[in-house]
Amino acid sequence: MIKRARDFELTEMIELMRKGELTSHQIVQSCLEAVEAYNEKFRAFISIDADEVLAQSRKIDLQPGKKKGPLKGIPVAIKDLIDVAGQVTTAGSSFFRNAKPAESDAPIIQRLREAGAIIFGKTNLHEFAWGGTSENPHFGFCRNPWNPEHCAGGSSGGSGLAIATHMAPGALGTDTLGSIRHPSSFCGVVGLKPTFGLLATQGIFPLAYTFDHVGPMARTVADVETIFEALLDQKARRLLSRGRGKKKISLKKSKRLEGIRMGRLTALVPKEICHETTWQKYEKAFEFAEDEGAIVVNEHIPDFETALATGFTLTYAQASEIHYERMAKNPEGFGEDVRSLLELGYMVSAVDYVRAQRLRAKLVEEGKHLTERIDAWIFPTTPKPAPRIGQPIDPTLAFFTAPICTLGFPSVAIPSGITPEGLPVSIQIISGPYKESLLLEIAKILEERLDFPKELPTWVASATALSFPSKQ
Amino acid sequence: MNDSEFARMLMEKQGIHLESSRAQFMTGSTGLFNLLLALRSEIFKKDVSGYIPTDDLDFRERGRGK
Repeated sequence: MIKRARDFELTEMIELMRKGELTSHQIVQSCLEAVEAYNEKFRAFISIDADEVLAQSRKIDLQPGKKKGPLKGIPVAIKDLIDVAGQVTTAGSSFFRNAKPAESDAPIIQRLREAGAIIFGKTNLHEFAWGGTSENPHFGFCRNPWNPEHCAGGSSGGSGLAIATHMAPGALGTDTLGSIRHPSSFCGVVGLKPTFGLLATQGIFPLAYTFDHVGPMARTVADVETIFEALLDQKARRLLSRGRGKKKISLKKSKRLEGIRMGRLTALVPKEICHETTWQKYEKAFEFAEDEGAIVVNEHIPDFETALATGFTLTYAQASEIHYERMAKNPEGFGEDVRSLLELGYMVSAVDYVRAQRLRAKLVEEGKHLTERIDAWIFPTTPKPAPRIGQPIDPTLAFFTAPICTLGFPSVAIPSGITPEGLPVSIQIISGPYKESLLLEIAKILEERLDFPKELPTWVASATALSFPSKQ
Repeated sequence: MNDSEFARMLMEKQGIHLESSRAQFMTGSTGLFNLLLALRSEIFKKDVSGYIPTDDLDFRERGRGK
């Protein structure tokens, strides 16, 4: 099969452009062809100005020396929760469908532009980012590229979907209780939730102020790392440099994780809630880590089992306060599931909230103690692969992701395998605050060993055969 | 009064009207309200003495040793 421009990974695109073997225009044109072919059915994008992105790519190609940057000429899709100057931020909601365009870029978009990236459209999401399926009643259901009868995950479902279908080589998502990592898991892509506060969330419509993160998604860990590094401002670089520590990945060809202490938090990973393949690949990841020289140690975080409840309690209340006026004036303007979640937030008492805050402080401290004993730990990303569209909310969906947001620690989700039913599963690797460099190095090695297939999902490759309803 | 009836009563007191399509989703035995009750029971299980309420995850302060 002929490799089209969009089929190269993001880092390959950069290298080929550097050598003069590929142009930005070819990449953008090829990605737009994928949007044209698949978007009506998969609903990855809410909006994209094809003429504008093509014009930008031509300009970059015609002035090769003028603008430099690590993402020069690379299209990056943006979750439609993030302000891009001159474009409407719908937040996936009917309330903002016809809102005024944003007057300025969010700081994270400014960083992308400074890095030379082409802002490549706004991706679909779960309404107001408050949910894990991206079955959006206003802009269509994000369908899973591995089986469109299943959801793409959320809330950054359009971003995960855009990457898996090669509509874009990279994207930005946001993560409050798992919203970068769920779609990464369900779509078979890589997603990084950085340390809380490392990347600015100004100009991003909030779900819960003290839980919201923004981060990159792409096909490989190296691709995610390239976008992540471009997003760092000077302050963030200083923080990462301080957090880096002395631990480095061995450069040997074997035993690359020699000296790394990898935590296995057995008591916190109930096998009974996991799909068989999710569990097998989770176990396999430890085998590979040991084979690469890591020391696998059984560990525990006291009271960690309450981190999920803590995260949800605080998020429920904050989200309901954020939407208070909209709920009072027009509750029918929300989709039924989001409206119900917002109503539920009213039932969180001030006493609950304060207790959850105290518990969060305790959990963060316990988590930091853990990271003095180990360098990283592994969890499944989601206990199961993508559920069928229309299924009731699965309360275990965020079991392994929300607690990490309670801690605010960085976590990267990488695809780990495919179930017999043909859906991807994923693991996440988690480290202490500001240890993203080490985290991504470990992830690259495990990604290589887990060897997730790089081909387009079969459903996408045969998209012409799709017969599901296109309007939802 | 069972859990579902209790949930419905509390919600109505808050001015939340549950039309039939959402009633099961919210107040059924596996509904969201019971999930909230479960969350509440979880967070009150643990001893948090010595910790003050904060949402400050500013790891930078800790990094500077303050």
